[in-house]
Order: sequence, then structure tokens, then C-alpha cells
Amino acid sequence: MEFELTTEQKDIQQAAREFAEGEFDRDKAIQLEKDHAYPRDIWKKASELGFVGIHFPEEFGGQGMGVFENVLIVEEFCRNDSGIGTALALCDFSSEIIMRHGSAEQKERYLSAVASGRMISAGAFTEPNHGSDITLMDTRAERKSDHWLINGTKTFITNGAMADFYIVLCQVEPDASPTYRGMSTIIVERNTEGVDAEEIGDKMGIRMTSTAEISFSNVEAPLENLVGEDKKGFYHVLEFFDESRIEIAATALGIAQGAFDRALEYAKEREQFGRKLSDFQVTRHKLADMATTIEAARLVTYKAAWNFDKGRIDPKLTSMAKYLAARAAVTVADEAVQIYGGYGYFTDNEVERYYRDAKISEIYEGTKEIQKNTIASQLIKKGK
Amino acid sequence: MASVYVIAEHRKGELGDVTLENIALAKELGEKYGLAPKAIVLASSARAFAEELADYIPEVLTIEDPSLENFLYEDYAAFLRPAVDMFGPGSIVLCPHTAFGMELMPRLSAETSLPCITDVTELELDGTRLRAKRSIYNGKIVSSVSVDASKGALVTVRTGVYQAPDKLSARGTIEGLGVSAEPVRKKTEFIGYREAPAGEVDITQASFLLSIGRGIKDEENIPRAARLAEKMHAVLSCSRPVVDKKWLGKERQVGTSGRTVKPKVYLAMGISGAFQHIAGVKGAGVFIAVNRDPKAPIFRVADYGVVEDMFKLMDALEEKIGGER
Amino acid sequence: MDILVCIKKVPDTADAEVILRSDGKGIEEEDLAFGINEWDNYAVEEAIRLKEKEGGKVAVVTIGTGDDEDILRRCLAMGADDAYRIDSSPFYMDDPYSVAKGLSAFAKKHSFDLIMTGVMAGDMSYAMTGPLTAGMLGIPHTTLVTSIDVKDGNISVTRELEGGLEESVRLELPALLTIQTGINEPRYVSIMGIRKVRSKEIPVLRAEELGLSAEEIGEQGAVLELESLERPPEGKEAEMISGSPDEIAEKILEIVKGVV
Repeated sequence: MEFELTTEQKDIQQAAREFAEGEFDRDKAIQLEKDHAYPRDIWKKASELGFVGIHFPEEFGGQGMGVFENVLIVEEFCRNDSGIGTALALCDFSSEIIMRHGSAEQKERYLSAVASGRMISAGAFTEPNHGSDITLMDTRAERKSDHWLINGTKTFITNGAMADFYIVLCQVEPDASPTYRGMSTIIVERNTEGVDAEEIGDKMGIRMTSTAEISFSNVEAPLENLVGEDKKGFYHVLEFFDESRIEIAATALGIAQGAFDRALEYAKEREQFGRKLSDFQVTRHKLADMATTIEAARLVTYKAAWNFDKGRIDPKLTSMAKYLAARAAVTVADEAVQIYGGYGYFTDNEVERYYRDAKISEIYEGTKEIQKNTIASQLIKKGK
Repeated sequence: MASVYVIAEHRKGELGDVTLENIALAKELGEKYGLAPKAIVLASSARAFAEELADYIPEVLTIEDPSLENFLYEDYAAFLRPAVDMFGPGSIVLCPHTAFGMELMPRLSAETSLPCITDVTELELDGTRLRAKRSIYNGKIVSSVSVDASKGALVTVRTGVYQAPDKLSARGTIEGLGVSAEPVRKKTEFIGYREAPAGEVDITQASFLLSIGRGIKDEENIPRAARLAEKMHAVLSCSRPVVDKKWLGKERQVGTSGRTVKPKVYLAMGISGAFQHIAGVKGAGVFIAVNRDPKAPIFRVADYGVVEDMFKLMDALEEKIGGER
Repeated sequence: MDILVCIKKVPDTADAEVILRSDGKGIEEEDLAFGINEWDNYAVEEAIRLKEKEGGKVAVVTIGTGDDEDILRRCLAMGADDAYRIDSSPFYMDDPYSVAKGLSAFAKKHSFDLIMTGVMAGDMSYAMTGPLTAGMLGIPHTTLVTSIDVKDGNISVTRELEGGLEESVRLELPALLTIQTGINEPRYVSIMGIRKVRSKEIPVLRAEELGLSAEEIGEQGAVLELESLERPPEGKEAEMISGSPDEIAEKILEIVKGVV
């Protein structure tokens, strides 16, 4: 057993850290958040330097590395800035479905564009009536002679209003039994006629990313836009979740670490009753708990990424990583605000933003309850 | 008898003030350790410089040669290598830690048997051991270093540490130092001076400077600082890192390599206080420093200090001024 | 044009608290972030830009331990072609003369057209290593370089003087330049760059292989001896203004009003 990063991984971590230190800026982040604006210039630069799609194959613009290396980058980015970091981490969201199951043409057209900062992707899975439960989709795709005809509505779609294409989970055979055996994943480009994306509204955190409702009204997509096998869409998406949960865990881990860094610095500076906060046992214990929580989350997240790169799918482990890291983000950010006291409640001190950005990690990509279901069902195998 | 020599720095026909600072140190060492303080002028025409220095130091030695019009290491060293051999054991040679001294002294050390210490703020002789204090780690630590000065030693002295001495009651003597240049095949050539572009502002004439440093963090924050400066009727200036990043022009840089300023108010924000910067703030009426780090060296030179995030303070200042109008 | 850049790893102390070690001989390093010396980073970038323009190769060298190889790999990732580490264990690293002996002995074994290093290092700030190395090699040098132009076997550079003044100097190659910050905008390390490092070996050279004896470069051979470290004297302290940003702003405006 080896608990040390390789020199190359250390170099990647350091490069990501230097990039974030050089390009991310607190005041810029606060402004972007106020404006609900995506950090476009930083995203472009990050793509040019190979930070986006590091896990994509080389022939499609990626760096041919693993999910683990992606985790290191995402963690560093989110540590430096929870908002910008998350926005960058999500720019290639669900492109992995194309990477794992798509045709060479699809990879050429979409993966290369995402890796080089020309396109942003989104996964359109959730529907108004199907949130955590995606075993039935109301969005219909009918196979016509030379195209798919898609009708339906997707909601809470990350990157929704700014993505260049969506990977849409559609019901192609409503009568399939069970229903999830009648689903397919189909690529729809945003500028296709009949596609409409509406920003859902103000949200608590990750305000630099778009979260939109997307309606498909008689949208025609070429037949070759089917990703992977027909009627295997549900499985492709579930398999993707195994991978994406690790990335979300990495965002949460970075957010936790970033909140902790700030709290530690503040505790060492701030004086009350003639002593530094860090001299009070109550603060010291808080810091000890926070650091311990983060370390545990990091170990599970790294292990889940490492395991995935070994070619092993272990939903229990990825769910544990996402569950634990998200919990770490929420609790550590909460305590960070607490250590800052009244000052922590104000935007200038960033920890309140970390706190708000942390919470989503317990909700999207499967709520923590769903993660526990996954873990439990793996523990207690249903006998048949 | 061993002596302490000051190599005069001059450029474009003018003697640097820093040479007088060095003379102050030479005289201090002279009194303490019984060394004879002397100045050396290397120039194509040394007389005027020598006359000026003779007001401050008892002995001025000159080396005149057409090759010495502009400073070039090779030309100076051709004379100084044989000269230091004549100085006698235990002699100390001083030079300011400037573009001149930094170019000259370490190299001269490598080509002679004399050891060199650079950028010193204090010197003491302990037998044959020459000990110096130097500021390291961004001014946060002071180190003591020493060399064996039995054969002599070369030293560059931090500028702005010593004050120019009072004039002597009896002017010093001026004499040619009989030394001829070692023959060298020249590999370097002086081409000319280049003045930094003047730009649209002259910070040296401003009575109120709002100065920003590394703490500004991002180019996008520059307009914010500019806006505040305008509202406060101040001129915006900066420290080196801001110019290195090309966020502001060189004409706005305060410091040894930039401009020397003497405003009535100097409000420094997000500047840690490297000596090269501080040396450029000569005689500010009131010096106010804002920095997040309570241990920033700038608080040792400022009149008023504020430990606070510069952006928070900028916002507060802007709001207050906005309200007043 | 083949260029050698001499680099060093230093702690970032610009924004960090520096704590003196209890033995007074060094500082507490545990909480400090270490990286390539800022001036050296500009030198590496400048060397790579020259190579991209003029052709040739860029090599980087440091005298250090295995832990210092990360800055070498960083330079390779930026675009340097070769990296070498001289094992620092026999060197008295606090003495710039020992360091310059190592660097010049290394440079002698190769043939570089140009050697570059930072004006100074952010830790000890001697600004000696460059000119000492050039002196030991007997090649022309200039310091505080802010721009470089190569023309038929010569280079013209500008060097930074005081008060916003610069001078132009022409040097015959081979030569050594010490690079001032701000000469360029150093690039970020890219993942593509890091991947290229995979195929690179970093040779480790021992002092003996460079013809240097422990006596020459060890503590007994040191010219400059680092005796002790201390905190700066308290000196004058600024009068501290405290309160909320609002209260402080008010106070500052009052002070300003009284003077301007």
C-alpha cells in the first residue's frame, strides 16, 4: 500500500495550484457570483493548459490521464475558490458518457471541443417529475426514418443555459419492462430548433454556473447522435454517476479544504479577550475536528478515484466518497463561518460563500440519502 | 596602514548621493578601527567629482582614463584589480549596493583574492574577521555573516541606511592613484542610456500618493484603486510587483529602480515594504501603511499602520468620500 | 543557441510569517511553501523564449537534494530540454562562493552560449551567484537585465539602473546574464508540459565528478560564513489605527485632510 502521490501527480497538483493562485481572485469571484456569470476567460485559459478533460484520451484532445489526476485538479481549484473551482470542474459535465460509450465521430466532434475550451457540455437527466428516481422518463424520443424526434422537459440541468450540447436521457420505449430498459442517451445541440433553456432562478450557491430548465419541443436530432447502445441509456447514465460522484466528491473536498485554510489563518490572526482565537481550546478542538474530517474524506475520495482508474466499478465506494466529502464540505464550511463569527456572515470573508457552495454537493448527482441507499443496497445484497 | 575605500558612483556627469552615504560608513569604521577613510573616483575626467567629495572625506584618489566615462565592469576592473593589490592587507573597499555595485563587486571578488559581502546594513571588524548584518527573507530576518578580511574585503552597502556626513572643516586632499590598466581584450561594450518613458503622470511632484502593491492581486482591481485615488485627489503610484506584471506603467513605480517621491501624504496599500521600495519614499510628510500582515516590514517605517484587508478599506474610504460630496 | 539557467528553490516569505529556529541558525520551514526563486523563474521563461526564437536548447541546473527536483521538472514542463541536479550534500549552501564553484564547474563541462540566473534569490538576497560564476568562468556578464536581443554572436541587453533609467550593453558570447523580474510574463505549467517530463531523466552529478573537493565547497572552504540569524530590531513602530473599516477610513481621511 502506498499513500504517496507520484512525482507527476505532485507536479499536476502544483501546476493546478499555481494556475489557481495566478488566475482566481476573490473580488473577481464575488463579482461573478453577483452577476451570475461564468468565469469564461479563466475557463478558456484552463482549457488551453490541459486542465480540462485531463482524463480524456489523447486522440480526442485530452491528456490521457485518469480520474485521479482530474480529482487533484478539481480539489486544488475548489480549494482556491469554491465558486470558480466548481464552475470549471463542471464544464465537461457528462462528456464522460461520450468518452465511455460514444462513437469515434462523436468523440472527435464533442470531446475535442470540450477539452480545448470550445464547448461546454451538460447532462440532461432530471425531470420535473423524476428527480432522484430516474427509472422512468417523460421525455420521449421517437425513432423516425432519419432522425430522433424529442419532446419533453428537463430541469435542474447544470450548465443548462450555456452548454453547447446536452446528453439527453430519453424514453424511447415507454412500454419497456422495467421502464429503464427503454431509455437511450442522445446528443442534442443547443442551437437545434425546438430547444429552449431557461435559467431557473436565484440559487443558494454555485451561482457562477447555470442551472436551467430545458424544454424539447419537436426537436430533431440525427440518428447518429445516439450515444452508446440503444435502450441502454439508463445504464450509461448510472455508470457515469459512478464516475461523476468522484468528481463531485473532489469539488466538496476542495471546498472543505479551502474553508479550513481560511478559518485556520483567521484563528491564528484574530484576537479576542487578549488572546489569539487559536489559543482557545474551543477553537483548537474545532480545527482538529475539521482537519480530521477533511483527511478522512480525502482518503476515501482518492481511493475511489484510484479504484476507478484500475478499471473497477464500485458504486458503494464512490457513493461513500461523495457522501463523506459532501458532508465534510458542509460541516467544515459551517464551522469556518462559526470561527469567523459575525465577520464570517459577510460576503467579503469568503467563508459564507464556501458554506453556500458546499451544500449543493449533498444534493446534486444524487442526494446524500440516495448515496446511503446505494451503499446500503451493496451491503445488504438483495437475494433473489 | 590599512584603509577603508569608497568607490564613487557617478553617472551622466553626476555623483550619486549614495557615495556620500558610503563615506559616512567609511568614516565611522575609520574612527572605530583606526582605518584611514579614502574615496576613489574612476572617471574620464575625475576632477569635478573629486572636488565635490573632498568636502566630505580627508583623502580622494583619482584614476583617470577615457575608457572610464561610462561605467562598464571590464574597464573599471582593469584598473581596480591592480589597485586593490596596492591597498594593503586589511583594507576594506565599499561601494553602494546599486546597479553599479552589484555589477562590480562580486565579479571583482572572483577575480582577486578578496572576499565580498553584499547588501550590508552594518559592519564590524573582529580581529581579521569582517562581520556584516544583512536583511534577508523579505526583511523579516537579519543575518550576521562574516569573511576573513586579513587580505582585505569588498563590500556593497544597502542604500538609505546611512546619512550623508557633515562637510569637513578642512577640505580633503586630491591625488592621482598611480595605477595603470591591465591589458584586456574587451568583450563588453556600453551602448547608451535609455530613459523610461515619461508617461502621463509625474509622481515625484504629487503631494498625495495612493500607492498599491502586490496586495492588489489582480489587474482587474486596478481601476478600483484608480477610482479611489481620483476621489481622494491623490495620484496613483505602486511598488515593483505591479509594474512587473505590467498592470501600471514604470512611471508610477516608487522605489530605487523607479522614482523617488516626497509627497505630503503617502498612503501605501498592500505593500509589504521591501527596502527597494521604502528607499524611494524620501521624506513623506505622513506615511500611512495598510497591510493584512501585522508583521509586514512597512509598519517599521510608516507613521500610521492599519492591519486590514486593503479592499475592505478601499470600499470604506470610497463610501465615506462619496457621502461627503 | 544553447542556454543554461541556474535555478534555486526558496521559501515564499513575501506573505508568510517567518519564524526563527530556536538555535538561531535558520528558520522554521515546515509551514512555508517552497518553490522556484521568483527571479530564476523569469530567467527560465526568458531562456525558453530565446530558444523558441533562435533555436538551440535550454538546460536548467540546481544544486540541491532530491526534494529540489520538482523545480527542475517544472522547468522541463515549461519547455526546458534538459535538467541536471548537482547533489548538494557536500556543499556549504549558505556560501554563494561554494554555489558558484559548483555552477561554474558544471558549466565548464558543457558548452553553453549563454548562462542565465536570477538577479538574486528571495531568501538570502546576495545577488552574487551570477557575477561570481561568470568571474570563475572568465566570461563577460551583466546584471539586472530587463531585455535581451541576440544578433550575430553578440547579445544586446538593457539593464535596470536607478530612477527609471536603463542602459544598453553589448556582450560577446558566451556570456552570463542575471535576470530582473518583470522582463517577461512567465507561463503557467501546462499538463501537456508535465507529460513531456515523463520521458526526461534528471542526471544527478556529484561534486567529485565536477572536479570539486569537499574542502573547496564544504564549510571549511567557505568564503562567506553565515553565523547567526535574528529578528529585525523593533525600531520605530507605526502608530496602529484600529477599529472597523469604516472607523479606520474616517481616521485616515482626517489625517489626510490635516496635511494635504
